[in-house]
Amino acid sequence: MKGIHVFSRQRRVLVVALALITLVAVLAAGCGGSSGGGGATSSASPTGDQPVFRLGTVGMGYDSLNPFVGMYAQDYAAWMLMYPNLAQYTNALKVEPDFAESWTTSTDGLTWTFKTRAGAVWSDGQPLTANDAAFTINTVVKLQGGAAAALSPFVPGVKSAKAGDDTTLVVTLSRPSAALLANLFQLPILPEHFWGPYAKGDGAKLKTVTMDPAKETLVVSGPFTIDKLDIKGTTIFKRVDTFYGTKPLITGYGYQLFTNADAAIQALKAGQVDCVDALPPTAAGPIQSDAKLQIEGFGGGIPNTLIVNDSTNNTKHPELRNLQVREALNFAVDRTAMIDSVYGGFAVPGGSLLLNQFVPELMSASVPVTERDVAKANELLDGLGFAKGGDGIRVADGVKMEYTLLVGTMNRAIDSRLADILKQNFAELGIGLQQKVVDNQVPLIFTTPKPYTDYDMTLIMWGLTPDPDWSLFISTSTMLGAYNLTGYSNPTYDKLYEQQSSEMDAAKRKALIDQLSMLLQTDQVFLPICYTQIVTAWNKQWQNVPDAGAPFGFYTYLNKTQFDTLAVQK
Amino acid sequence: MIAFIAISFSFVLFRVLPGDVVTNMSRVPNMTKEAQAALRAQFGIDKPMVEQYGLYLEQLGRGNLGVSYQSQQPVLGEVLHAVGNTIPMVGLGTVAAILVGTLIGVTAAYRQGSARDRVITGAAMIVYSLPVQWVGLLLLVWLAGWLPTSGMSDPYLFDAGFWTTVQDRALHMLLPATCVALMLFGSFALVVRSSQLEALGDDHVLTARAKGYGNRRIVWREAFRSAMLPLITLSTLTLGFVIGGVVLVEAVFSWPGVGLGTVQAVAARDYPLLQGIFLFITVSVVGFNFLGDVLHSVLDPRVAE
Repeated sequence: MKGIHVFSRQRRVLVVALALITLVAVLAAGCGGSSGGGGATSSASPTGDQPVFRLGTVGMGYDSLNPFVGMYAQDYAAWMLMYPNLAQYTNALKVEPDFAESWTTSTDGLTWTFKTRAGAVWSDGQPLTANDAAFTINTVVKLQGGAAAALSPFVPGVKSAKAGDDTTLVVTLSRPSAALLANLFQLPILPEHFWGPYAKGDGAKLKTVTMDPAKETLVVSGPFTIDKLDIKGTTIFKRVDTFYGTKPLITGYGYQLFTNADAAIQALKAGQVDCVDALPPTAAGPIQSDAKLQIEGFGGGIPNTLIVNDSTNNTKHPELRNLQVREALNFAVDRTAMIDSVYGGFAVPGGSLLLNQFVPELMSASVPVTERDVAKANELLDGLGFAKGGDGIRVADGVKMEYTLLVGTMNRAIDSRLADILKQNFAELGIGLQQKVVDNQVPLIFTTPKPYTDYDMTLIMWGLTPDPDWSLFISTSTMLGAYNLTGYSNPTYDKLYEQQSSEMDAAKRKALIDQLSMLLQTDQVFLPICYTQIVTAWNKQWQNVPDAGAPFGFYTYLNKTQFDTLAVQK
Repeated sequence: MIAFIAISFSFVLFRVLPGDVVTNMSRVPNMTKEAQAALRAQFGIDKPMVEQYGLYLEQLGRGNLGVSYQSQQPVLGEVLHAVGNTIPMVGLGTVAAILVGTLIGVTAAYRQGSARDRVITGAAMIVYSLPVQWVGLLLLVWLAGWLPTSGMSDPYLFDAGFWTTVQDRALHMLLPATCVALMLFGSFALVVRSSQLEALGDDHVLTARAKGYGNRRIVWREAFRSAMLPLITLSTLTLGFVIGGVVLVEAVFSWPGVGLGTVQAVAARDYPLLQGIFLFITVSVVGFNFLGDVLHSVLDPRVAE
């Protein structure tokens, strides 16, 4: 008991000291004015019929909400809900009007004329006209080598734009572009009276706009605007009642970044958020056991693909350039096991880099999925004379068929497990595979002394667009050293791509796209694994959550209508 | 000199990583090679590394840490923002760890060889050796619903009064700060126990016992004063490091501080922000080491001599 007596006073001192320290720390955090999540001292709550929809995401939030700075898909989703776009896509991937009500193209494909909405206004009451659209396009064209470089992919081949009158926009191109609308639709139209002063000279000041309503009076014309900016915590958006389109029922939404899935799941279960997207498939168990929550896999627009180094620079394993070797690898892949055990069912077998949800106007059919056939794969390799050595590994022209698969840390949780299954699959062929985890595999492929020399295979997830132009562009020779990770280079393919890119006749373009798609299959350019789904869970008290068929997930840059009817069940 | 070496090292370190801010497959589709080249020119990373280094040192000399590639905002503001978020949380956790660790260490030393000593020492070693992110996840799963699990405050707490705000911040800080305290207290307990044991055997402590002083005086005034020096050293070293952010704790609890900022800056290859953060961490470590030396000199005049 002596010990207790000795330390009892110290314990009291300790308790008091801890309490005081806690108070000081909390006051320091509370009064510091640099809150990470901090809405407690924010401006007034949005008011209206429906509450703020609290959306959470895991892993990657916004890059920046300045359109001249941000480059993540989430940024585009936010801008789609803040700014007018000439057109938008339905979840069924049909183009539909947004700020432009209709459009026509000249016979030579060099002039596009858009009729824009009359009577639309910006959030500050200033008129929204075709002149704002012309200003935005001309600013991006003028500064595409500098301050507007991030937006330049959306104005391919555009020479200039001008407003004939308040509701007529004329866009002039230097070459016909069949996918112009598919690119241009992503460009947010910005108010000239706000952004014009920043765009003067080299436009460097465009990037200084913080998009923080506490510092700047933002001018928008979408259904929502930023109420409180905190891109590393929670950014809150409020409804804009002057929006020219359908007014959403919710008075706002919040977008909260969670750095790990467990925290997001617990927050959803505890009612701290209403919905979380980008969850790992392993989240299904804890969520399905909670009766008040629903979980769905959205989309199918994000393929995960096995990339094999097909480049002529691949001197280490030249056998990988052999079409039959790639065919054999493709036959060995057990997509069913991968989807069941790694994705927990939140994926569908993949056929190509083209969208799973094919658009009949653009393609004749979905690309078929390669069925697993180990016997046929072994037959192909035997036919090539690549016999197995004493250790069971095949030897191709004196080189052991042992490969390294690069796995990037960004998608490591999934890709490492896919790599384990691939290792087993390839072992059935007498092919060795080891995975190497790297921070970012893409630059490794290109920054070796000579590109494509020092890697064998990798797994990559792709972000696609509704029009297949971009998906097809990836495999052209022009993209060698950029997004062409396979090193595929085929003059026939390049020529066909150029033809479809400028073919303004829809039927002829569709035939060209079919040819390109077939070429990608027959040349085994990609060895597709599956189309991944964006796993999203929400509280069932919310009704009219966006359609699960949305190819790019719940919070998407496709359209402004995603939150239109979202409401709490009565 | 140390700061200069650290600055130069961090400049080179991040640039030898493969890739840069533009090479990232998660970026927006449609990005062409031309657009990528334009972005590199805009960020100034198309210049030779030596030229980039010269420009960096020149600007640093003028107190300009540059502009974040990601946010396009001045790095100084970004770093200060993150530091302002980190300090209260890790400060609370560290000071709690020091106090609890000290009390436990002194108790264990006083009861050396007893069951209490073995339990305390064993528990301290076990907690000290547990991966902090695992401890954080356990706290998160066990206490979700009782305490907030992410961020610094409830973002949907509109128009709250001062005390409601303080209460909200306190609740949000509790789990990450507890995690930091659990991560650190074991090392303090072990160091204090060891130095206290040594001190309890010192001649002046034996003399005090012979004079019939009470246990409290012997333990705290005679022995603990002598045992404080290693504690001071460990405390200043620890503070120097943890103020640079506790990466794993901040990642588990989505705490927008220096550690989480570092992770996000590495992923985005945001060189200016990374350099700013490393400069801060270097200054913090060097500064606290210096503070430790000064305190050592004050507490033990022999060191000054």
